Amino acid sequence: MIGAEWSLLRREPHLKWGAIALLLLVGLAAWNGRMLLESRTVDAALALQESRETIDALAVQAANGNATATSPGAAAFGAVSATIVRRSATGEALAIGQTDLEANFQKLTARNAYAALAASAPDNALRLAVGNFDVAFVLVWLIPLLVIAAFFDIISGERERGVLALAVVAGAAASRYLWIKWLTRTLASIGVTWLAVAIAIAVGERSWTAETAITLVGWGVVLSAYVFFWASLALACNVGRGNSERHAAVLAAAWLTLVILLPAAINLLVTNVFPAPSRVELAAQLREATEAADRAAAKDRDRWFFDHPDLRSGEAERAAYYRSVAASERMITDAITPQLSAFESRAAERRALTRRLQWLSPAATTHDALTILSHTDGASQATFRAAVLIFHNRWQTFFFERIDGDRLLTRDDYARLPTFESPPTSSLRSLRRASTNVLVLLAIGALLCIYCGMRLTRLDAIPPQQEGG
Amino acid sequence: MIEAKGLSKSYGSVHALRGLDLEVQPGGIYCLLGANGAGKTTTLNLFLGFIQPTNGAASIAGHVVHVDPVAARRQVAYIPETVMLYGMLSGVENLDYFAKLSGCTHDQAALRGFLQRAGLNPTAHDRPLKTYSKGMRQKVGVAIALARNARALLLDEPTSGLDPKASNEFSELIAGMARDGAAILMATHDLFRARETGTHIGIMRDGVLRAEFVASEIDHGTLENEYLKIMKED
Repeated sequence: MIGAEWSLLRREPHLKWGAIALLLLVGLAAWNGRMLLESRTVDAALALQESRETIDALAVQAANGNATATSPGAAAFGAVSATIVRRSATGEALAIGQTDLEANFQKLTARNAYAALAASAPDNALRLAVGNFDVAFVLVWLIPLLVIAAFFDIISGERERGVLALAVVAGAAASRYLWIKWLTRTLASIGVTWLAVAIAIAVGERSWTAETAITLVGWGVVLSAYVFFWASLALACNVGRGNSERHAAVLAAAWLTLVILLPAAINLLVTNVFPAPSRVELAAQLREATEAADRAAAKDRDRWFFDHPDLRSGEAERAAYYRSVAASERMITDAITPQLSAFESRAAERRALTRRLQWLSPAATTHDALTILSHTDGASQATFRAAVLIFHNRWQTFFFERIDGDRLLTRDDYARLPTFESPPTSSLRSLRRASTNVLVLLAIGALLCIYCGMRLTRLDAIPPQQEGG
Repeated sequence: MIEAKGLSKSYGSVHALRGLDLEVQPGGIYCLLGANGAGKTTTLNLFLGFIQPTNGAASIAGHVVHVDPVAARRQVAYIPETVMLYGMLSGVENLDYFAKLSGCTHDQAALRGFLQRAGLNPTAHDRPLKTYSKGMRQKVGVAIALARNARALLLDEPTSGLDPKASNEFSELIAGMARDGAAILMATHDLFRARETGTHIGIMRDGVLRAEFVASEIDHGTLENEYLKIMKED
């Protein structure tokens, strides 16, 4: 019976072309993601190479006793910078998510913490509303349309064509006949979805590893649950007595509401409830803190020289200057830390509210799961920012210890410069995090199926207008 | 084989069918005549178990339809006014699909044999059904009935919209099935075809069977006069 249904399904040209169009778009979106990532990777590699070459050159000059290269202050606040590169995760090309809002790499000095995060932007609560052209966007938006095309008349069409009546008279139980039809179409849609994910990974990923396989499975499972939800919704719509035109209109309205309007409404709500801290305000506070810190540091420096007038010349004065700059940067960091914390907590609040509200829209739930699996969700970005701050602290400490202790930099010091490690990603851990989303989609789909099961037992085989006459 | 006893169906205060009694023996073709809304289709829908009777019972081969619809349907084949089936599948594939739904498995030769017996030219067997004329589709409907070896056949205005040649071919087909022992109940507007094909003729109006005739005992002119007389009654 499933074989016969499959043979029927693959003869429907609009579904065949719809599926082909979806697969082509997925390939294009994956290629777009890959190109974007590769261009970022090349830029990051060039920046990293430039940093390394500068450090190597300074190390040689330090060995030769060059004054600038051996001065920890000159190195910390000008000559030396660390290049922070965000490591590309498996599946990132498929769900660009919020990575296009954050710098892929940045140059970091021993100046204050704000400078370390200057290239970062507040993360958008939900990118779905504007929609990046990535595989996640294409699948979340278009899979429901494909499912609607395959399911909108699954019962009403059979009834209107008189096929259901013939099938029932032929001895098939109407409910079993329709369940088999639904199951075949659901399995076929899931098959197309898995094929789309496989194409996306083949095009978007540079190599196949165990992590790639886990990403493929994760995406496949999430999108299968998404297909299951839409197929169940279409069936639930069909168990009513309306005709195919009405069912198509209802499902199109459901798509509009669940895929476009609700995510947009969630986005609007979240950004209004938790507006991002003002960047202008932050910049003004930074300026004030800098001025205050500079004044305080200069005052300290002047007092020190007042107490030690014999040292007001040459090396000693330069060292004192850098000590005051270091002190000033510490003060600036202390002054703006509360602002930066507020910024992070606001982002966390937005993520939390978004996550609570996303259950209203299966599209948002699915998109969230896909970005989790691709390590491009807001939480992953926050983890990266936290790692940058920790590294910045290590970098500052390295130089400030030498500035405060009047220790000149040596060649070995350059070799011991802290290096940044992008936070590790684990596809298995992401799979666990995304499993809640999958369970929610499956639960809603299952409830719809139970409702359909109850309604199908008393299904009419003929359209209502034929009952009389 | 096909029997109605006091069969009634009401929708609220509207009586679609009132106290219908009729019987079709194996080999018999009972033609139900009547204007639109007379209750012909309601009668067929009751025999098919698509709707439940308000009173009385419809039975097929001894199985009361509303009590045991599955057993009753096992004996029945149904040909609606327009056999739609699946336009993308060929005649053979449609036949195979519906035969399988009935739990019958036939090889390709047998399926083509049924189509041929139903009068469908072999050159059309593998063409998509969407290219078929209405008459050809009706023949596929007959082939489905043949493949199921149904003992009772319910037809709802099967010759409506067919040209005279196709209509005649169709009548011959069902006459042949009756000769093979099937009991046939056919709703139709076509007095001439009812007189030519049927063994019994019933005229319905407002949900009531107003007159019954043995087809061999009435000529066409008399049948027409009786029909018009019933239609004109206040």
